[in-house]
Amino acid sequence: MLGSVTLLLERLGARTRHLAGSFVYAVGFGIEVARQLVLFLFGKRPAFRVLTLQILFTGVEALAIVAVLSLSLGAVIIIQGLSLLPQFGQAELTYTVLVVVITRELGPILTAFIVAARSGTAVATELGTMVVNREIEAYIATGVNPIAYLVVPRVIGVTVSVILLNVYFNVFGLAGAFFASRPTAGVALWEYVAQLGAVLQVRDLLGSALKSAVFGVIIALVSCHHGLLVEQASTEIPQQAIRAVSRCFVLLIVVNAGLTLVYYL
Amino acid sequence: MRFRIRFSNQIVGLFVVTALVLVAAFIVALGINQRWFEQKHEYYSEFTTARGLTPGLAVSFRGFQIGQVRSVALTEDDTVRVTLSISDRHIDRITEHSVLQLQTNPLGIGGGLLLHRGRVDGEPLPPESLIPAWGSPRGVALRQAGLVETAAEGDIINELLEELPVILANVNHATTTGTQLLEQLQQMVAADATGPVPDLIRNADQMTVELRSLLALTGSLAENLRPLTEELRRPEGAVVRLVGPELDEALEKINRTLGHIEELSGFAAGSTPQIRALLYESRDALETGHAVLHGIRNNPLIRGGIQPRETPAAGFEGYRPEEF
Amino acid sequence: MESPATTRQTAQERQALLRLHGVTVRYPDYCVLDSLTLELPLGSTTAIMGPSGCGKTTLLRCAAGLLQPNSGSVELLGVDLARAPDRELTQLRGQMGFVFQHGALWQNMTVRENLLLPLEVHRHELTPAQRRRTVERAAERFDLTSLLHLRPAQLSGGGQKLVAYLRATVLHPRVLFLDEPTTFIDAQAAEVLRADLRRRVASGCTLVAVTHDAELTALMADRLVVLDRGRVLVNDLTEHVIHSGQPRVREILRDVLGEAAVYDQDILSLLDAGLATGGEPPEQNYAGHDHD
Repeated sequence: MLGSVTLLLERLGARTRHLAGSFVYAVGFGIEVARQLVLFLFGKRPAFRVLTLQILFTGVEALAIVAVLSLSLGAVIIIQGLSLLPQFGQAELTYTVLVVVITRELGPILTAFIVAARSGTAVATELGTMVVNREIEAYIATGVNPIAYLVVPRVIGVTVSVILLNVYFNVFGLAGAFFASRPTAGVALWEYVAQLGAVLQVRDLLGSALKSAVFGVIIALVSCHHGLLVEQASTEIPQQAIRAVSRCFVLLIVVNAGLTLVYYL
Repeated sequence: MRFRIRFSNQIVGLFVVTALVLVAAFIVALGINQRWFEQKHEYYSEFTTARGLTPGLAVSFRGFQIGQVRSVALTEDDTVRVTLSISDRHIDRITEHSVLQLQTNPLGIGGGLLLHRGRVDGEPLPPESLIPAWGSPRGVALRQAGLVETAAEGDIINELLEELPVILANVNHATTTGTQLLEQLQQMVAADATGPVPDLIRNADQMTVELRSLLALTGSLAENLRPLTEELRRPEGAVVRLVGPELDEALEKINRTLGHIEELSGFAAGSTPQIRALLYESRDALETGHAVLHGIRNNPLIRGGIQPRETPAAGFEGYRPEEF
Repeated sequence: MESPATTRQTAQERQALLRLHGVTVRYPDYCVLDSLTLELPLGSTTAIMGPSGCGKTTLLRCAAGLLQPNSGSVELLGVDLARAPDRELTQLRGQMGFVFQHGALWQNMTVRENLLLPLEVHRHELTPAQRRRTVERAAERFDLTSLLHLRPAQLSGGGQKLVAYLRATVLHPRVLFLDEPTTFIDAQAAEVLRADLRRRVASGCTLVAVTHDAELTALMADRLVVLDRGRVLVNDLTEHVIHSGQPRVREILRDVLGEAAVYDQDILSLLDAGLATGGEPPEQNYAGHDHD
């Protein structure tokens, strides 16, 4: 009896120590990235090419899926809105609903999900493979700080990509809504733009961009962190990639809720 | 793939620049639509409560937005001062005797301030002037004097909410007067046994006059209520949809009661308990109506939003009281 | 943060190339290096030997500052690797090269970019054109010019190893760490590599190599370090180690270098043999996928 209690306590203690250690490491990682980020922004940029490629892979290559998703979502929202809201005598709210759903909510979170699923795994896998192949050590041996050279451009690249993809998501989403509403409501383009323009606030755009920026940083940091947690074996790579994505998703949802709460306070 | 890698800088540059152009276009469209660069003129209005008034609230005229609420502040003398900015293009709509009506939607969305233009064709009201509120003494006076264009343009719920309390207050007043009258009548009937005959005749005469005026009042009241009730009963009407059978039933009851009053005008002097029963009934109906309106104001989408009403212990129980 | 004064040692202390003190590297289930202490002088050429899994590569990684030990201190060229500020560490990296066992080339870059990066980091005084010329000259020596535009994955194992060697030496480092430099490459390429190493040793480069290659050992080793189970068994001049009476040392040398090396001839005769066979590098094409 006493033995099993001791064992339980021992395991609990070991687990707590492990968790605390992981947390401290993650915080330290974040601080180091922030430090190198400042050096990157205000100093030399040997990793500029890494940044360009990251935007290419994360942003440009995700554009098609973002476009398809947002076009269809915008269409669905406007069709539902046009069929539901007039029943309450609130047809003019359709535009408000579009702005709230696409610009404030779905734009940032869905682009973040897409990027986390596509590039989060890619980044974690790539860095994990580099660790196993000792490429990271080769950087250190050459005098290149892997955080500055590998992590910082990815953080910037992913963040910029998420922000820009969100812009495209908005454009395509609102365009999809326009095209879908034409056969039923027959709204002229300029009228549609005018109605949207009356509802949309700069605050919405800024809030949307801010959310995207935060999401981008989360995706990049979590993915890089998990990628670099790979130690020796190639079997660790998929494990860490899965962990990176699931952790990204949880963090994105929680942070999104928090940011939305702050927006309405 | 090779193509992409080789021209990565150009592709990424295009990607970034296009996004920036789109953002710029968004902002320009916003600026044009919200007329950031247009000259604006400030006016103010005074309300008794800030409920439903928020900065950014639209000011509209015949369904077009002509400005918005800049700020809402409580002044030293406890009035709510609302500052409005009206765009330069619509400044000539703000004429003398214009009145502002707050349109609050019970759903809590889509409300706004409606401008009712003054009937005089004159100079626009100079900026920084007061535009009276619809319910303020000045607003009421302007409306009663017929100086305000009162085109109905709010939604049905708002119009009903505006009108119903007035009607109900009138009905309540009428029934109270009626009750008092009938109490007098009862006293007179009671006095019949002992009092002198000329007195009785005089009193009966007076009673008949008073009762007649009461019935005239309730009759006109009923006429007023009828279209309103019809409106409410329309199956596609928003109110019915939102509130369901309660309001319908209550108003039906009011109408029926008042119909009874009319019918009873023939033998008003006849049986006192019948009149009393009628009046109890009508008051009951009116209180239910009040409760329903309260419910609408509180939460129209929840059917249980109407608070249970306590029935007075000494209420009327039937057309034939125990002494019969 | 330590001031440079405390991390920079006196001239006398600088004579030590490498100083490891009480270095322990532990994984959850086993101990790789067990409180290991080792000192190597500057200008020496050292071969580290030992049975498989005795911690040779881990020792080399700790010595080069690529792996932080769980405990103990490492000093390389008088710089305490755990305490030195970033700037000093970067300078130190400019003076050392490291050849990984499997090459560890950066897969997302071309061969040329792999070779350019060390120059971009440490040779700011050179123009981009000069850097490219430096890379091309280095590639010519190994006949790799035609492969410069390829990615590492398109090269054979031997080709990758040579590129890795080239990348480690493109800055002409004072210290060169080599982890099994001649494995995975064919005899001819190994010859080219040995010849280049000999040239570097002659020009004063300090070498520290983990190797099983008897010829290479014979060629360069003026010092032998024998490891066993995470500890230093012996660290001495090669001739002393060869003639060591310790049975375990002899056993390990026999296992590592092969029968011939220890039984009848001693390793010094191999040194002569190695010098005799080292000629001009033969022509060779390293492209392709002959990984076997």
